[in-house]
Amino acid sequence: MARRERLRVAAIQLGLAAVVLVVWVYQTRTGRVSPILLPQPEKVLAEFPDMLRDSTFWAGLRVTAVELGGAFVLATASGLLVGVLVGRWAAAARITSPLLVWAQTVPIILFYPICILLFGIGPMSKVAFGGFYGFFPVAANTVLALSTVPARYLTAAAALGADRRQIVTRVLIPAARPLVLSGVRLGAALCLIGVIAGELLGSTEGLGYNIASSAGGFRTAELYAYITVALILVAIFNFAITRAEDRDASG
Amino acid sequence: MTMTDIALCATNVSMLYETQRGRQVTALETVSLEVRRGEFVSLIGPSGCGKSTLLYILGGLRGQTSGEVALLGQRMTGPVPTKVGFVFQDYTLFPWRTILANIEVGLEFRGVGKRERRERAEANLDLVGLSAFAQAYPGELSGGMQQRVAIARALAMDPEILLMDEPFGALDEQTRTVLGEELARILEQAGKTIVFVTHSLTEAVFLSDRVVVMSGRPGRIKEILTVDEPRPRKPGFAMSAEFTDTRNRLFDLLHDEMRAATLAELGAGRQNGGRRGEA
Repeated sequence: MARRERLRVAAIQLGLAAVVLVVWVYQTRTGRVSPILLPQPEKVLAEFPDMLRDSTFWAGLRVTAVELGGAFVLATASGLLVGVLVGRWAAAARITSPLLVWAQTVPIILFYPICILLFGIGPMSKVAFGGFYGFFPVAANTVLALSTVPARYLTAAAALGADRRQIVTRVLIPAARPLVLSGVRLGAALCLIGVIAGELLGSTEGLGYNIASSAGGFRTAELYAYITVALILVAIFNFAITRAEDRDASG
Repeated sequence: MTMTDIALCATNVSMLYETQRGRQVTALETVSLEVRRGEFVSLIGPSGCGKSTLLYILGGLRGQTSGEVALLGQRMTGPVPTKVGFVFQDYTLFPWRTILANIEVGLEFRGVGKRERRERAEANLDLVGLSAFAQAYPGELSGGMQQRVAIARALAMDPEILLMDEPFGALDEQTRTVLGEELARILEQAGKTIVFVTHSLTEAVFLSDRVVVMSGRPGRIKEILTVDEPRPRKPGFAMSAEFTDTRNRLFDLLHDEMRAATLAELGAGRQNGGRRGEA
């Protein structure tokens, strides 16, 4: 029953993708859309062999991957640190929680020029900006997770003889884990946005830079190919993090 | 009676606390109570009479403002998990652990080895009749089943005394009747001293050797009723004249208290409403 339901949902999703593709092919074939705005799908596909042989592509991909890794480590480490410090202290949690939530609605991109001023046009500014972007959901969720662990679990643990260390390792951490992990996942997605946006706005290398330069040179087919690669990168990254989360939940 | 016959002894225990608005409330006023070893004592009274507070103080989970509590002749200063087990009103099983791992957790805190932990957990899970759910998670069990697991978790520590705070409070009438009978069987097998907080007159009379009736605000002991029928009691006891008589007496005692407590609450509500109206 559930399996059939899942299959039906997957079939509809594939169908929707097919509709988009058909519209894309039809519109470009009939010449209703300028190839500068939207190239034919097979033209985009034809870009891939060239792109995969091109060393600038691989160099760009590597730079972006390294920046992304750095930003993710930065966001997670600082978010967890601040989250734990604040979340274990009720008064601080009450003060900072609304600020952290509010910070997530602020267009953080406003601060990107400051990152460039501080760290230059190279990868460091992307790491810093991506990390800054991803920090907020990690910190906010960690604060929320730790400050909302139900008191009844702590009382029960005390009645069962848990010492302070056991309360932290056996009660607080597992109780907070799901919410913290969803913050990490959201943070990871924002790191990626931060890194690519940073590259688009000002850089000399990376996928974002390649995308910007293809667009600037009206090499639209190449642009679409790069966008496809970025989307695949997002999918791989999300998949890896979801996998880590699932393994964690079952372990 | 020698000292060692007394499992728990509260002497002149008072508990004061301050509400969020800064009002002083006396939750308990000079409460003295002795619980003998092997005895089943129920605490019953209007809501807010401090019966749960008294239970937490008896278990060392909360400190009293004044007075003393002695556990098996020793002054109580904090929870003693090897001697006193707790079953709480809320569902307190850890949702990230399997049922078996939940029962093991107290033994884990104590540093008991893995194999012994497993064996004791399995034995106690069997005692509450839920062996089939060893690998399930708490969320997959009904409320009544979760509370039975909580009882197994407390029993796995092999405490001499079990303190239960309305363990079936959140369950429907039929489930709690069945669980009450189950509980009587389980506890008889385990041979524990029990202090049991409840709202249910039937539960109190059916299960207890003595029923402690408390009065509300400030919480005091009003009267202690003795139920002479030997335990474990058969379901037929609930039909007997003694049961009905005791239950009726309990109802009379509580009726006045509950009326007074409810009217006081309503009165307070009206006053607050008035104040708000003026502001």
